[in-house]
Amino acid sequence: MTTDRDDATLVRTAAGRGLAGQLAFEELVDRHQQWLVRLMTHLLGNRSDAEDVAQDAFVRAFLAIEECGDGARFRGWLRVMARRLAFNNRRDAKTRARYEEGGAALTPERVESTASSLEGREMLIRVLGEMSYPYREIMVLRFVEELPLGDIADILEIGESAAKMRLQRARGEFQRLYEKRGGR
Amino acid sequence: MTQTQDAPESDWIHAVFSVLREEVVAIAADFGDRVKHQIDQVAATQDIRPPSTMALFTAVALETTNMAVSMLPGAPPADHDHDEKD
Repeated sequence: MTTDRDDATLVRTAAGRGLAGQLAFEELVDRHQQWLVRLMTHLLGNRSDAEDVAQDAFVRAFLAIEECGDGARFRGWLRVMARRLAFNNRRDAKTRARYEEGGAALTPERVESTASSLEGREMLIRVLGEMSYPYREIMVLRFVEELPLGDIADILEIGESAAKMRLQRARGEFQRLYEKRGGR
Repeated sequence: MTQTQDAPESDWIHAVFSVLREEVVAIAADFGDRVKHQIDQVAATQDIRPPSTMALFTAVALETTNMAVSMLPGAPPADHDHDEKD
């Protein structure tokens, strides 16, 4: 777990402030920007909003780095922070529209050309865009981030049984929408 | 990561999502720089600018001023033993 150890060292250095602390945090930015923007993109449906929220999350993390505690869990700590920001900034209708224009980028012509059998990424993006935000969020955390239920519950700040129920319902909605579009 | 906590019928969902798991999102080329720039600004405005950085800037500014003054025509030689006299 070299990465964790390195993160822990960087977080400790960053928490010490000073020029070394700022440089250490900038290394954390380099290391974690890809997965964070990816996660935000899948939650919010477009890269522009995703980058804005990710940037905000990094800045807030920098200001509160002393609260990170175990630096080896920096990624999880940052994810919780970013998830809160995404949740607060979400606009379901807007996000759904952007999913369709920015994510799948399906024009009517393209929809027609692919008939009713959209496949792969485009259909997945479409279905995610149609889901309510809480369901989309938990599906991304479970099936993209591949987090265990306990971690998902922590991130969503709900009990594990509530997370389990939400995931079950989200899967049901996903399956219904996916099959409606001719998938599976 | 395992799927042990999902029902077996979710395996197909896991497979469907693989396309997103493997995806490398194209981040704006200057994203990292923008974040670092904002962090730099926040560090300054929030008064958490590294003391070492401020000390460095101050020292450089003082030294530059001293050098400029000493190069003026008729200026007295730089008083390097000032501290020792005190």
